[in-house]
Amino acid sequence: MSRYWQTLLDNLAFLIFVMPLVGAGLVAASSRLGLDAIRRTALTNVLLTLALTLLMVAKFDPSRPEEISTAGHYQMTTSWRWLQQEAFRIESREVADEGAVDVLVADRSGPNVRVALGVDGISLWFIVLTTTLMIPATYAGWKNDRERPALFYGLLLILQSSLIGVFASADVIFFLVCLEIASLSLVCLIGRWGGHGRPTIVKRFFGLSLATTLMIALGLMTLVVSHARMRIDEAGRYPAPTFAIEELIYGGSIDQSGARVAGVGDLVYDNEMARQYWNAVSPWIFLPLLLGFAMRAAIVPAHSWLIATNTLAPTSACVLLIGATLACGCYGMARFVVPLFPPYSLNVIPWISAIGVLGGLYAGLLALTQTDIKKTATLACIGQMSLAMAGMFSFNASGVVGGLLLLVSTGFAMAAMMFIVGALEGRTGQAETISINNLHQSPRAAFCLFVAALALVATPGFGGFAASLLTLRGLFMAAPHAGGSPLTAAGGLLMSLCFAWAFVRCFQALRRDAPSPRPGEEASLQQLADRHSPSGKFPDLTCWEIANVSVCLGMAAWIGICPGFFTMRIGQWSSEAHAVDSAFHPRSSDHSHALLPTNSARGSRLPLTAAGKDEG
Amino acid sequence: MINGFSTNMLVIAMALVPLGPLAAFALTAVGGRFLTGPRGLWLASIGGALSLVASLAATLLLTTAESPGDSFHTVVIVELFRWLSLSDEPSSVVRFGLQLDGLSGVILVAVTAAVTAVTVHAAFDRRDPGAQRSLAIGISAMTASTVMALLAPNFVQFFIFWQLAGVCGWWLRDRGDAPVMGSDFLIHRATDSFLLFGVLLVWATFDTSDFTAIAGNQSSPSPLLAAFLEADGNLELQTQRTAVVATICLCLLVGVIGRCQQFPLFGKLGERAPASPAIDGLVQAAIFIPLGVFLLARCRPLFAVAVEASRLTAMLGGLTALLAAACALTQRDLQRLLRFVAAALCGWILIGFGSGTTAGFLAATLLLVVLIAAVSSLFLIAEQIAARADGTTDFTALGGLRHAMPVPYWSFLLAILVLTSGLWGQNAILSALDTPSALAPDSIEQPDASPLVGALLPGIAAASLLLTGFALFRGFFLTFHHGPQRADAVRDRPTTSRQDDTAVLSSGTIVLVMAISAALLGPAVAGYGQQFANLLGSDVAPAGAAQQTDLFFVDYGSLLALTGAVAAWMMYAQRTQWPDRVAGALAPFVRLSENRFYLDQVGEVLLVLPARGLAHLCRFLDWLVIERFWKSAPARLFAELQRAARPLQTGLVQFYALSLCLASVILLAVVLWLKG
Repeated sequence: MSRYWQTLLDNLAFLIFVMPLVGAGLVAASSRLGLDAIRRTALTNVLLTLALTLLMVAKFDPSRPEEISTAGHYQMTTSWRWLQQEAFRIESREVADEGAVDVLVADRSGPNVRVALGVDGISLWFIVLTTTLMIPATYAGWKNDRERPALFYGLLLILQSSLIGVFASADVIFFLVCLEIASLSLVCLIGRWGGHGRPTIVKRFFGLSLATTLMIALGLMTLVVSHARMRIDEAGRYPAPTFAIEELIYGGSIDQSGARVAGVGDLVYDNEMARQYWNAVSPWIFLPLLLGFAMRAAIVPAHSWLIATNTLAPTSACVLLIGATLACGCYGMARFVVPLFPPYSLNVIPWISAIGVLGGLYAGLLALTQTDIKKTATLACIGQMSLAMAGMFSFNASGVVGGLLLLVSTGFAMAAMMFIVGALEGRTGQAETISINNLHQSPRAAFCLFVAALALVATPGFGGFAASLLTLRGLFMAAPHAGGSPLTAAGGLLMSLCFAWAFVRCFQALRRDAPSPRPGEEASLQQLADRHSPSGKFPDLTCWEIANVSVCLGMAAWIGICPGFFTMRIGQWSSEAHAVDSAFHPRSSDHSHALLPTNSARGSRLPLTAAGKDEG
Repeated sequence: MINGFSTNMLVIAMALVPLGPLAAFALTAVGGRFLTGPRGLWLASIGGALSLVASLAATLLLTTAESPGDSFHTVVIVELFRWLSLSDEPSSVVRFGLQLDGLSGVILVAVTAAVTAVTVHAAFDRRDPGAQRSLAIGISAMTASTVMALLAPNFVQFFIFWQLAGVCGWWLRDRGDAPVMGSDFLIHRATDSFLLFGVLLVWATFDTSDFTAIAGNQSSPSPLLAAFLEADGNLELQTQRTAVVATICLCLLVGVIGRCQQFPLFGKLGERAPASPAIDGLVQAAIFIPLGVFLLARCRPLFAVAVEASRLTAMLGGLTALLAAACALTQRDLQRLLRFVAAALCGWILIGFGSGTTAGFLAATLLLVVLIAAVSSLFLIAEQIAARADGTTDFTALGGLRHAMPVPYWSFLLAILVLTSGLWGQNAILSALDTPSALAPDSIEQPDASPLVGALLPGIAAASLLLTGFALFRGFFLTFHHGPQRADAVRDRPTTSRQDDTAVLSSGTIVLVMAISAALLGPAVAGYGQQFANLLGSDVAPAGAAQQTDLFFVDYGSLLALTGAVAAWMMYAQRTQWPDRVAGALAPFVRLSENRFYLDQVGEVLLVLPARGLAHLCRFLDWLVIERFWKSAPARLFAELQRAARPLQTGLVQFYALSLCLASVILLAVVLWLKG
C-alpha cells in the first residue's frame, strides 16, 4: 500500500468533512455555467463524499477498543492546532529507579483548541446517515433551485459539512462551531426557499438554535473549567484547560513524555477532593447539556418548533433537518451526558427514561389528531427520538446501542417519508390528507409511502424494529436506580401503537375518493391531475424519485436485515457497556446494587472506558 | 440418533422449505413484465409445492431415524447466521436458524399443502389478471414468512416472521375495504405489542430466547425453566417466578387471540370481507390460526407451569367457540359463515391446549391439521361458487346449486362432515377437560379446578358443537338445496370452461385428499395413538385418555353435532317456513347474533373513544400551554430583560465607567477564584 493511500485512509474523517466544502466552492465557481452544471457538480460531490464514507466504513476497525489505551479513542483522526501554540523543550526529571532522565515536555500557550476530527463507534453511522441523505436532499432540490441555484446547493453542502463536523468532532469548540453553522445553514435554506409564513418560523428556529447552542456551550465550558479545576496538582498549579472530548471524558492517550491527561471519570475515581468538587458542579453541567440537547432533539415539551419548521421547510432541508440534524441532539446526549453522569449521580436521571417515553406517548396521541401526513410523520420522528433518549438513559449496552441504532434507522425512514411527502406536496401544494385523494391511483407513491410508514413504525425487516427491540430490552433490563422498567417498555410499545394508528388514519384518508369540490374550494389532487395532465392520469412518482426513496429505505432495510453488522461497529459502546449491563442486571450474583454507589466514578466510566485504560 | 447421510438430507430438506417460496417471491418481484398474469402465480405454486415436498421429506426423515424410540424427540436445529449481537455473551446474541421437530413438521406439511392448493386455484382464475402478479408476490412472501416462523428456533425470530406474515396477509387482503383492514391491522398491531412484551420478558428473564432452552420439549420442561422455578427452595421467590411465567403466558396468549381472532376480537369477521374467499381463507385458516396455535403448542411447558393461564386459554377458547358459532347462525354470506366457523374451531383448539393434558394437546393438534385442510377447501369451494355466481356468496340469493355444481357439492359435504363429526379432535377435547395437568412440576401447587372450568366449560363446548353443526349445514342446505334462485343462471353460464374444472379438481383435491387422509388416519393413528403422540414429541397418552377415546363412536359430541345437522336439514331442506318462525320467536338472540354480541361497540366505547378523547385533550393542551409558551416566552423574556436594563441606560458617562469598573472587579474575582 502506497504511502499516499495510507495517508488518505488515515485522514478519511477530515476528507469527508472537507469534501462538501470543496464542493460548495466548486458549485460557486460553476454558477455561470448554468443550472445543469451546478446540479451535476453538487451531485458528483455528494456521490464522491458517499464513496469516501463507504471507504471509511470498510476501514473502520470494530475491534479497536482493546487497543484504546495506546491508540486513542478515535480512529482516522486528523488534528490541527487552532488557537494554541506549542513548543517543546527537554527537561530533566528524577525517576525512582533510573535517576535523572531527560523528558520531552510540551509548552502550550493559548487555549488548547484544535480542529480535530475522528471517528468512533458512536459517530460512524451518523456520518453515513448524513452523507447518504444528501442524495435525496440534492435531488429534491431540483424543484427549488430555479432561484439562486449556486447559493442553494452551496448552503446544502455547507450544511452537510457542518453536520459531519458535529458528528466527527473531537474538540468541544469545534463541535460547537459546527453545530451553530449547521443551524445557520438551515436558517438560510428555510428563510430563502421555505413556504409561506416563513419569517416568523425562521425567527423562532433561529432563536431556539441560538439558545440551545448557548446552553450547550455553557454546559461544555463548565465541564472544561471543572476538568481543569479537578486537575490542580499538589503544589496548587492550575493546568491548561483541555477542549479535547477524548481527554475530557475518557482521558487522553499517553504522550511521548509518558504523561496522560486523566478524564473526569479517572479523576473522580482517584481523588476524593475531585469527587466532592464534581458532585457540587455536576448539576450545573448536566442541566444545560440535557436541556440544550433535548431541545435540539425536539423532545416533548420542546417539540413544537420542529412541527412548525418542518412544515415550511423545502424538501431538501426537510430531509436533512429531520433525518440528520435532529439526531445531533440525541448524539450529543450519547457523547457527553450519558458517559459523564451515571444513573446514581443525580436524582433526576432515573426519571429521564420515563419522561422520554411519556413524551413519545404524548407525541403519539397528538399524531392521532393530525390531518396532515407531514405533521404525522414529524410527530412519529419525535416519538422515536424520545424512545432513543429513554433507551440511552437506561445505561446498559442494549439500551444505549439500541437508542443509537434507532436514531440512524429513523433518520433513513424519515428521510424517505419526507421525500415522498415532499413529492406529493409538490403536486398538490399542501400535505393535508384532505387535499390528497385517490392515492391508490398512483400505486408507486402509495406503495413507497406504505413501506416508509412500515419502516417508521418499526416493522420487522427494517432497522427500526431491531433498534426498538434493543432499546425496549434495555429499558426492560435497566436496574431500578437506572431509568427503565417493564412499565417504561410498555409505554414504548403503546407509543408505537399510537403511531401505527395515526398512519392507518392517514392512509384511509389518502385513499378516499375525492369529494366533489364546493364553490371556491381548493381542487384535490385528482382534479389537479385532470386539469394538468392531458391524459388525466394521476401524477405518480417518477423512476428517479423511486430510486431516491429506495436509497433511504434500502439502508433502513439493511439495518433491519443485518443489525449485527451495525451494532458490532458501535462496539466501543457495546463491549464495555455490556460489563455495566451485567453489573446492573438484577440477577447478576457477583454485582450487587449496593456496591455501585461506592464505585460511582468507576461505573460512570465503564460505558466508554476500555479495559486496561487505568494502567495508563 | 440420525446417521450422517440422513442428517445431511434433513438439513437440505429443511433449507428447501423456506427457499422455495422465497425464490418464487424474489423472481416474481424482480421478474417485472415477464411474470405478469398467471405466470407469477404458477411460479408461486411451484415454490409452494417445493416447500410442501421438502416439508414432507424433512418430517419423514425425522420420523424414520435409526432409533425410532428416540427419534420422535429429536429436535434438529440449523444455525443460519447471527442476526443481532452486542457482544460475545450468549445472552446478547440472537441467531437466525431452522428448528424442526414433529410439531413443526406436522403443521408445516398442512400449511404448505393449503398454500399450494390456493395458489394453483388462483393461477386458474382469469377474473382479474392485472392483480395476479401482486397476488403471487404476496402469497410467496407470506408463505416464506410463515414457514420461517414455524421453523424458528427462538422467540425473536418467531416474532419477526409472525409480524411479516401478518403484514403480507394484511396487504393481500387489503383490496378495496380500507376501513375494515385498517382496524384489522391495528388490532393485530395492538395484540402483537403484548406478544412482543412477552418475548422481551422471556429474554430478560431467562437471558435467552431459544425455545429449546426455555420450553424444552413437549414432554418435560427445560432444566433452565425448572431451575428458575425451583428458586433454591425459596417459597416466596417461587411464587414470584411463577407469576412471571404466568405474565409471559398471558402476553403470548393475547398475541395469539389477536392473530386467531378469538374472543373478544372476532366481531370484525362479520364485516364485509375484504378479499376473495380463497385468499381470505388462506390467510385466516392456513396462516394466522396455525401460527397462533403453533406458538401455544411450542410454549406448552410454560403454560403447564402457569395453570391459571392455561385455564384462561381454555375459557377464552370456549367462549369463542360458543359465541362465534352463535354469530355464524345468522350469517347470510357463505364467506362470513366460514370465517366464524374457523374462529369457532380455533376456539376448540384453544380449549384443547388449555385443558393442560396430553390428550387435549394431541387432539387440538390434530384438529388444527383438519381445520387447515377442511376449512381451506371450504373457502376454495366458496370461491368457486362466487366465480360461477357473479361474485356473490350470499346464500340467501343462491340455492339449488346441487345439480349445477356437483363437484363442489360433494366436496363441501365431505368437508363439513369432517369438521362437525367430532371424531377428529372435539370429542377427545371434551373428554380431556377434567383431567389434571400432566406436565406441571411437582413443586407447583395445583389450584383446585374452579366451577367454571369443571362444569361450565364442557357445557359451553358441547353447545358450540351443536351450533357449529347447525350453522355449517344451514349454509350447505341454503346454498345447494334450498330454492332454485341461481341454479339456472349458473347452469346456463357459458364459461364453464375446462380451466375452471381443473382448478377445482387440482387445488380442491389436494386439500380434500389431505382432509380425508387425516380424517381416515386420525382415529387410527393420530391423536389417540402412540405414533402421533411421539411425532409431536409428547409422552405416551395417558391410559385413561386412550380408553375414553376408544369409545369415540358413541361420544356425545358427535351426537350433538349430528343433532345440529338434522335440525338444519329439517329447517332448511324440509320445513322451509320454520326458520322465520324460529327467528321471530328468538328475536333478541337473533339481534345479538347479527350484531356480534355488540363486542365491537363495547371495544369502541372502552378503548377507542377514550384514546381519541385523550388524543384531543393532548392536542388542546399542546395548543393551550406548550405552543403558547414557546411563542410568547422568548419574546416576554427579552422584553423583561430590556425593561430591567432600561434604568441602566442613563446616558451619563460616569455611570458607564462605574459599570465597567464593577464588571472588571467581578471578572477578576472569578479568575482569582478559579486559580484557587
